[in-house]
Amino acid sequence: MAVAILFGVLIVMLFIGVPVGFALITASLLTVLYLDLPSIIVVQQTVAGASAASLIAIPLFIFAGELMMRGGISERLIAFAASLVGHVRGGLGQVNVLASLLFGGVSGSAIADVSAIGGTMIPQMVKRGFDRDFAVNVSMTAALVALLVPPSHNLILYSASAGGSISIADLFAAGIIPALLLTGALLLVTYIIARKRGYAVEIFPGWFAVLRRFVSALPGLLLVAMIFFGIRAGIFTAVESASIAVFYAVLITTLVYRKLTWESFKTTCGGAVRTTGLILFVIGAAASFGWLLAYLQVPAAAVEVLTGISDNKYIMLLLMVLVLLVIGTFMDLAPLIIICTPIFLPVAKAFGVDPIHFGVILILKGGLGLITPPVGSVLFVGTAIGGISVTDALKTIWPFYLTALGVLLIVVYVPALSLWLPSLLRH
Amino acid sequence: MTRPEVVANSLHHPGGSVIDTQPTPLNRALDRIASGALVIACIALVCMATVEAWQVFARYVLNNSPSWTEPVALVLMSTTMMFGAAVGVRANKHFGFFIVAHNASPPVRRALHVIARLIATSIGVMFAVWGGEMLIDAWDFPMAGAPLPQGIVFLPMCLGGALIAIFSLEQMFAPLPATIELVE
Repeated sequence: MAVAILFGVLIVMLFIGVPVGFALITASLLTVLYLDLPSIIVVQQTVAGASAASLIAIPLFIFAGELMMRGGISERLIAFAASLVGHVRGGLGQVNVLASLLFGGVSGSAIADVSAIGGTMIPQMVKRGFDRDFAVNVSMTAALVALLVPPSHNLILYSASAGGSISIADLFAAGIIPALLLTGALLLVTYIIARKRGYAVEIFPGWFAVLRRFVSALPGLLLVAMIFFGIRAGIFTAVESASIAVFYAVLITTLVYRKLTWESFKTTCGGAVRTTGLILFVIGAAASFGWLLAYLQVPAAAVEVLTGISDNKYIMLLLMVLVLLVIGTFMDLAPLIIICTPIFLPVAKAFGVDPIHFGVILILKGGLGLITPPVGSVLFVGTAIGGISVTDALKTIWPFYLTALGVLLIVVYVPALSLWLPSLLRH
Repeated sequence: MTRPEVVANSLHHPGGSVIDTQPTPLNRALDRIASGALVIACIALVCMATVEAWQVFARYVLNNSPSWTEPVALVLMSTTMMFGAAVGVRANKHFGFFIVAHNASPPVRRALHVIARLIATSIGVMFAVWGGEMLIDAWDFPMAGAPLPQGIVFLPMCLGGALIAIFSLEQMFAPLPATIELVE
């Protein structure tokens, strides 16, 4: 009965439009009252949940990403990507995909990616004769790559939701090959569609121009290398690397790119604080919910129920992917990670799935939810930038969507894609 | 399918107000409070980055790893979280599944809007009261690793809860939001 109250209240609250954080706390509070436990537990667990030291990295990486986004890095990355792949069939479409990968390494956020790269690329693509739906769909699906490359705050969120026992350095390494695979697949599908629709190509500017634009983009690109190798080599923790990323971003955008003014710095701080407030509040709220899940032994029950359906690891993974795909259509990525990790990770572990592998699957699957209605944040931002309706975008998104889904299934069934690099770097 | 109008990180108003009608003196006072909350959260964020960077500097340059950085950074993070969340409440910017409410008839939409704000107000009051109780109970105990009272950990929750309650109450009587802001 308590479990029914916990989930029933949560679902009702979400459907009537109560924000996720408040819905989680209400569900927890009513369940605690039903169980005759002291209600103050809910507040105590919320404080405890938002006080994990590893979480400090999340606001700082968000802050660093915002600084880089407003500080001129995206233009330089687009210029560099344009010099590299602009002459391939699909021209600016290819540039869009590659720039998203590069910018993802700076921002770690799909929304930031589609805002920064899509905001620049979509109008340019339309101006050069690309169809609006194509420009929007390329931008939206390419932005998903940002979820998998370091410093993705979603990977840190997954680690924290798993109790902090999963190495962030390993998760950062695990996302790289799937991110490259997704990029490669999107470049290919962009090429095929561009060929079919007869889109133009750009003129190759020559290797000297490539080098010049690389040098211009290098300070931004060094950020991701610094974070990744700094954590990996044990020079600093993920949290410390995030603070260094903030100071590095301030230095680069003020002294090198000379774009960050005092006014834009204040705006950046405001943006970072708002996003941080939302994410951390849900994390705190989910802590009391998670505590009740454990108290009511829900993960153990989930393992028992799912093992009753099949004892095959791969059928179970497929089942979990399908369930998560459905949940992802009406839940944003951060709440999905926070709520689903404590339930599904024990199931995955019971079937022998590596938690790092499962993390990559969860994030990539959650990414698909971001471009799926009715709650697709990237979908809404991308279509708003492109000035087309969601319906128009969805009519022609399917080749990109199926490509991303195909990559997800490959990542699910080939664990080595996620586990080989962390294992290699550990030795 | 209707597409909600999207506002990405609109910062046209520092306090994040979404009030469309002529502001009353109370709205203007709450505007100032929201702006103050945003400034406090921003300062906490910048201080958090500085404290963590100092940890690296002290360890490698001064060869002395301070123990106070982590507990202080956690208090700063809690401040950013609660004040940022309160500003988010005022700006109608929170994670949620708003499509059903957004597409409901005006009376139903108004009713759901009031229920959601009522719940947020209650939770804000709960945080303020119980956060305050825990703050008082733990004030005399020293914080592990930092020369601060342990009770300070609950201060952001207490103040942020009060702000959430006030802003939710204000939103309850405000016009229905025409926009949905999005975050990942």
